[in-house]
Order: sequence, then C-alpha cells, then structure tokens
Amino acid sequence: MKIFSAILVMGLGVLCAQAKPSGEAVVTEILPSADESAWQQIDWKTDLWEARREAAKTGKPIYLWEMDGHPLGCV
Amino acid sequence: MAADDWYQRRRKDEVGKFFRKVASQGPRDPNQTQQGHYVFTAKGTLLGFNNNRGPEKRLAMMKEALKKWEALPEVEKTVEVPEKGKSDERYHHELPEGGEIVKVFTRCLEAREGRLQKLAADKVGNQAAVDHLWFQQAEVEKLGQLIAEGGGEVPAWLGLRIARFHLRDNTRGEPRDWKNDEIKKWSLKVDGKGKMSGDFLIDSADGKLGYEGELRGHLAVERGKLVKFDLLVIGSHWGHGEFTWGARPGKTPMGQVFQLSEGKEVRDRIPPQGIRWAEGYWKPGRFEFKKGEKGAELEQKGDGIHPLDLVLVAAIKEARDKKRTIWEVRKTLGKERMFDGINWYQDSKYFRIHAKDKALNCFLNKKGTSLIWKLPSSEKLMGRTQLAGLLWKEPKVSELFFGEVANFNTER
Repeated sequence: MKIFSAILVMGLGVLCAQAKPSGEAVVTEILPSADESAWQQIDWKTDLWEARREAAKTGKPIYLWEMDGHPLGCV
Repeated sequence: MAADDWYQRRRKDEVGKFFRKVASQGPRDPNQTQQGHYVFTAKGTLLGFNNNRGPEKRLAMMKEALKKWEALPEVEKTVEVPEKGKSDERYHHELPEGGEIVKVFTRCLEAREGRLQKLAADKVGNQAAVDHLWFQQAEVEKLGQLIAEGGGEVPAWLGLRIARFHLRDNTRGEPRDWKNDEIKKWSLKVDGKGKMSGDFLIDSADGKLGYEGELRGHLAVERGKLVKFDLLVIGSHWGHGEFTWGARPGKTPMGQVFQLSEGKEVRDRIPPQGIRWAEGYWKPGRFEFKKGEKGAELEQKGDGIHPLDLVLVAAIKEARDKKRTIWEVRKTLGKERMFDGINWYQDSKYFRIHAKDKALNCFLNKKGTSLIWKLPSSEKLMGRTQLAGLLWKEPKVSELFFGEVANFNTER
C-alpha cells in the first residue's frame, strides 16, 4: 500500500490545481505517440456499405479488420 | 474498413447479411466470433482471411488475396451496390443529436527514474488503448447548471457511467463492464469553476479484479455545449478478465486521460465499448442484474422510467383494447428493437420478457387483473410463481389485462 501511495503521489504530483493534461509529463506518457497512432491516420471506413460502394466505384478489393471490440475504439 | 464484430455478426439488416455472406466463405464457425482480417470484393467474394496478429502473416495474406483479385475477370470486380436499407438499431449506435464525445486513453504505467512512465516497449500491454465517453445534450446542460450553482457531486448517471464503463484496463483486449455493486467507493465532485476531483475503489466480489485511484480535472460548459473536459486518472489496477489476459501480477499503476473531441474524424465517432446495452449505458444506475442471473429478476434502482416499462405498457394496452391473444402481444413486443422475445410459462401466470441478455419477470395477481413485476429477490420470485400458479392456457389477453395499466407497479 505504501508503494501504491508513493506512485499515486508521484502521478498526482504533476497535476496543477486546474489540471491541464496536455501539458503534463504523465499525460504525455499516457497519450498515444504519433508513431503509435500512425495507423489511425488511414482513412478507415466504419460503414461496410460505404466501403462496398467505394470499392465498386474505384475498382479495388476491400480489406476488413473485424474485431470483438472496435479496432478504432476498444484497445 | 474496420468494424466491431460483436455488432456486425448480429445485425439483421443488409449490412449484416452481406458480412455473413463474406464470412461464411472463411473457416470461422458461424455461431462463434467472426473476428479476423478479411479481403473480399464488393460483390462479396472472399479473397483472403486470417486472424493472425503478426504483421508479416497479415501482409502475406493480403498479397495472396491481391493475386487472386488480379486474376479475377472484370465482371467479378464491379457490382451495382443496392440501397443499404434500414439499419438494425439494436446493433448500430450513433451519437445522439447534440451529444458530445470525450476520448478516453488508457495506459499501463511503471515507475522509472522517479516518475511514472509507459511500459517498456517489449512488455505486453505497453500501448495506449482508446475508448469514447458519450454525453447527451441534456446531460451537458445539467453539468453546466451544476457548475453555475456552485458545484457539488456530479450526477450519479455520469459517475456510474465513467466508473462502470470507462475506468478499466482495456490495454490487452475487451474488459468487462463493472457492476454497480463492484463500485465500492466513488466520489467525483465539480466546483463552481469546473474543477473536478474525486477518488474511487472498484473491486470484484472475489477481489481478483479491480482498480483504485484518484481523478483530477476540469470541465467547462458554455451555452449548453461542452467546451472542455480534461480528466486525469492515476491509479492502481489488478487482475485480468476473460479477454484481457496478460496483466502484470499484483497491483500495478495505470493512467487514463479523458479529452473532449470534436468528433470530426470517423475514428472519433466510434461508439463507446460499454454501449452495447444502450439503456444500461445511458442509465447505469437504473437497473442492476446480479451475477449469474441471466434473465433473472430486476432490481429497482435509481429513478425515472425505463423504456422497457413504457413499451410493455403500450403493448399491453394495445392488446387489451384490441382484444388480442398473448401470441399477438408477443408479436407486438417483438417489433420493438429492444425486445428479443417473450416467454410465457404455460400453466402459470408468469412470463418473462427478454431484452438483450436481461429480462423482466412479470406476474399476474390472484385475480388475474393486473401485473406484478420488478421483483427484487429470488425468494419473492419463487413465492410469486406459486401464488400465480393458476392454470392458464392461451387465454385472451383482454380477460387477463382488464385491470388499469396504471396499477401495474402498485400491487404485489
């Protein structure tokens, strides 16, 4: 419990009274880095029908990443 | 294209039909998860599939699929895509009009060099996970009102929504929702300037899965719109769920950052993981079903009227007025998106209405003139079953429901 308290104090210590997460070290650690989220810059479709229409229009096959828990919104 | 298989494989609409047609050409058991990586034509011809996380194997599958694509005659590559039709609303969620999105980032941390840092790159679960917290417009207005009045404890619907569906470790897979009674300690206050502070302890009954920590942040509402929602959660989590194996042993640090999103990108508008049962997400304190009691009794908590109540009452009124049989009532209820079905237990006056994996238990009183429902304990469940044990063989609903609908909740 002592270790946990020390960790908590360490984390909370970086917070100012009006927490401004974007500027804090621990927030930077938590947020995904640009490298980590590079794959999210792909123009993902989330509507299968829209993807189908675009594939038909552009003459391309469809790649589908299907996961229990949305790939763009769960893990 | 990226999709949540939990919804996609269940959808009873054109999208679901098309997806199942594609998936049925692969190796997956149609009654199980269909998750994986697919390449297929707009017509629905499967060209490649695997469920491997390794980028090399995935790339190899895609290259192989492209070869098949190149070999296809042109006629197989094009199709006139028909209208999508109406979406199956049970498995399709959109942000309500005027709603707000807050992105929730979660990361397992470790103390190094005197500060909390992300896990080393070679450790399991070192990447940040993302989820989305949704607000309805009226809820944001209430938060604005709370700040304007000098602050106080945030409303239970917000506290429970954050605690049950967003304070969790989703860095290695799908975590389960917390239950109300697992929230052992909870406080989240906002003051008159929008400063948020609180702490929490969430713990499973066996103590094997939990999370405790503190919350700090700031929110601002202007003209009924959320213009700021920054929340930092630093805590200690422990254990793993059915789909989140690989947690570090013991209690270890975890951090979360909540940030308002404008929702401009498709990736920002993904529904919250916890909204699969939408009514439970929006009204998390309203109903609680005990562990292992799938389709069991309903506990009454919170305030307001659950949509199930309204739909049921409307259906019974219609059945009574139009003198329909119980089987016609069943059809009426089936049209409502939130009902999966209704089971009538013959030879008794007990029936059970299913909504997703939950259910309402309903009874008739001794005279058969009104419903008794929302029984809070299994003891009463048994008692009422015996009480209502009169033989009942497909009677006309009008004979059973001639009591005032308004009395349904008053008699036990």
